[in-house]
Amino acid sequence: MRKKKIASMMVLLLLAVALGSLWAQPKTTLTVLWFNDANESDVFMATMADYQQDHPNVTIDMQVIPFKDYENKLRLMIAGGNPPDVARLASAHVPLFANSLEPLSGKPVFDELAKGYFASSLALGQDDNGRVMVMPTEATANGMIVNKTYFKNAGIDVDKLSQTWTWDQWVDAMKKVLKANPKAKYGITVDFSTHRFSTFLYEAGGRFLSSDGKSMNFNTPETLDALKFFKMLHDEALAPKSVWMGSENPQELFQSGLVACHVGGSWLINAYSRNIKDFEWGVVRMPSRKINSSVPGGKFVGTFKNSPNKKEALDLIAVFSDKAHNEQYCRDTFNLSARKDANITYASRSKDFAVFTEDLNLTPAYTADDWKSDVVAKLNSYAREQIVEGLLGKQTMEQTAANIQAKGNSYFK
Amino acid sequence: MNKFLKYTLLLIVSFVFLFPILWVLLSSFKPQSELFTYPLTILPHRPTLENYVNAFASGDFITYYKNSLFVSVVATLITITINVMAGYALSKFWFRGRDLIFYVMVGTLMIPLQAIMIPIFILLKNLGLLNSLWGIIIPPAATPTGVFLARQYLQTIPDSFIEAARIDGAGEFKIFTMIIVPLAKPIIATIAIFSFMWRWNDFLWPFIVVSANKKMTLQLALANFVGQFQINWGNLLAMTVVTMIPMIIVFLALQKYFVKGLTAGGVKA
Repeated sequence: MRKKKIASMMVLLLLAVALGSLWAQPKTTLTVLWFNDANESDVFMATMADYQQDHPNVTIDMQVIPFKDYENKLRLMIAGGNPPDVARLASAHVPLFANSLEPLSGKPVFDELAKGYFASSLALGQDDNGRVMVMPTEATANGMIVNKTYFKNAGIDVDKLSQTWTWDQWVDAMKKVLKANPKAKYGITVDFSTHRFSTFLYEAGGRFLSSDGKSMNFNTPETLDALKFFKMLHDEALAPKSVWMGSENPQELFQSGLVACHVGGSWLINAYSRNIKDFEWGVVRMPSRKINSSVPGGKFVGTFKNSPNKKEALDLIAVFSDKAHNEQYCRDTFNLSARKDANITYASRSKDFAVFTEDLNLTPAYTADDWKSDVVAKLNSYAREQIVEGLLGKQTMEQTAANIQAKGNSYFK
Repeated sequence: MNKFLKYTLLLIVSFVFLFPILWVLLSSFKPQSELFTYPLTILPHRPTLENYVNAFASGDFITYYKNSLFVSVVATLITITINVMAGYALSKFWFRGRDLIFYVMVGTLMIPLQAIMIPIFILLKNLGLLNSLWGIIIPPAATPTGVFLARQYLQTIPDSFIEAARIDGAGEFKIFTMIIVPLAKPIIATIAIFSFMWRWNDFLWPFIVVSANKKMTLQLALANFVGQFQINWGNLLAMTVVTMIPMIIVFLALQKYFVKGLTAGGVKA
């Protein structure tokens, strides 16, 4: 009798195990390809901890690749038929991988989520047909960071002056700052990047493309004004030649106190908070020329047409893009959010983030249209080379503008 | 006086070569805020271990270190075995097409890895070697440079040694292990140094094979300190110092064979 009881219990147990395994959800490993500036991959994992708790069948395999080689790795994985499930992308990557990305537009959850994001950020994640291909994770804005101690030494209240200053006023102020601070050798340093130069371009009223985005509109008097002003900064030794005509790192120049102002972007707050202890620094409004402008940028996440676990990947991206997760990620990575409804209190430097946001709010929408275009993406390094040729005096800035225009035209043919 | 001049010159040249390493070492003990102070300083004002602590905390560097050591040691052993055997066959055995095989082998040096990255990636994927340390080790184990060096060196060993051993009744394997390998010590040391250095510093091959963090080598992990907009110099300097240590040990241990192995093949016996 006892034996029978044990046997039937064993049968029941086996049945339960068998049925359980039938009902158990299959295990999925989502590969997430990422690049870091600081600790973004760790923050992503921490942000998605609740998602992992709610989805015990999904494991996130975070794969961090150096940024310099990220594009090559992603190309290799896609061409080799082994794309990741989710990938982090910089805005410059989006036009390059648009054909391989799974469109998010047309999927109800993403159409709804997109309503919560700034149009300028979403625009950078769209393809040529205006379809959202990737969701913004953070926004970036170009802008000016200054050595406040130097301005104070020159008797200038930079916070007050920068509320309305023009580039001419900036030049006057800079002459005083350099005189009062012998350690400061230069007034300004600008990242060696076409994107950062384009801040000057937009402020002068110039742009890369026409309003409909179907032709180049670079070779204009406004562009020439920006190019000539940029050359003047270098010729008058207000900007070090070693950055654009050498290989000097502008961040290091600013951190060492050799330069009073740095035209970089919102991502610098994190690094400068960590590294600068010897002087007071802060973000100020960009001086205006014809208009006030920043340049929007950002990072994104997307999945690919051939990703092995596309359904789960889309689910993960949707959760990561909601208000709570986006706020947590941007707060902990020290980044601006691309969400309209984000309300973030940073551990420090909230005021500086607010200045970037102010500049971003004044920025014309066509700046994002330019930078989401694959023509501008292709033109990027050529434009930078041509600007350097102009700065070196090997050609006039008129020639620089004409060459960039001609190269851009060739991409439209 | 002549000797004095010679040593002074040697000291100056050594200093020029060692100075960057010394600066990296000293800078790795500077706090982040001190790295960019102007004027630049050689010695740290406030020496600290924070860069080392932060670097080790920023990733699983013990695993990356183990991976790099495993790849470098195992790959070097396999490379030495294959190269010396191939070099021996190509220098001491006559068979049809021997020279053609050698030239084809050396000719592969002219194909840059970048040009065949995608086919290699697909091949590795089909072989199931993606994201595995064996995928880093096996495919590039038979290096043409190593075969070339081994062949040139082994040509200098007189054939009479091998013939005498054959007359004494030694089999081919015994001749290889008991006569050729001991005589080939300098070239083995040279190939070992080259192979270890290349494997330890290699970025491109592991980059193709590995994306999973647990399988990363040190060079891949180091490159992660350079972001799109920011470079974590403190961590980078600290980990650069740590990655230099095995290289220095290997070089110091094998240096007496190194020059001998490189030059011995130049004279034909």
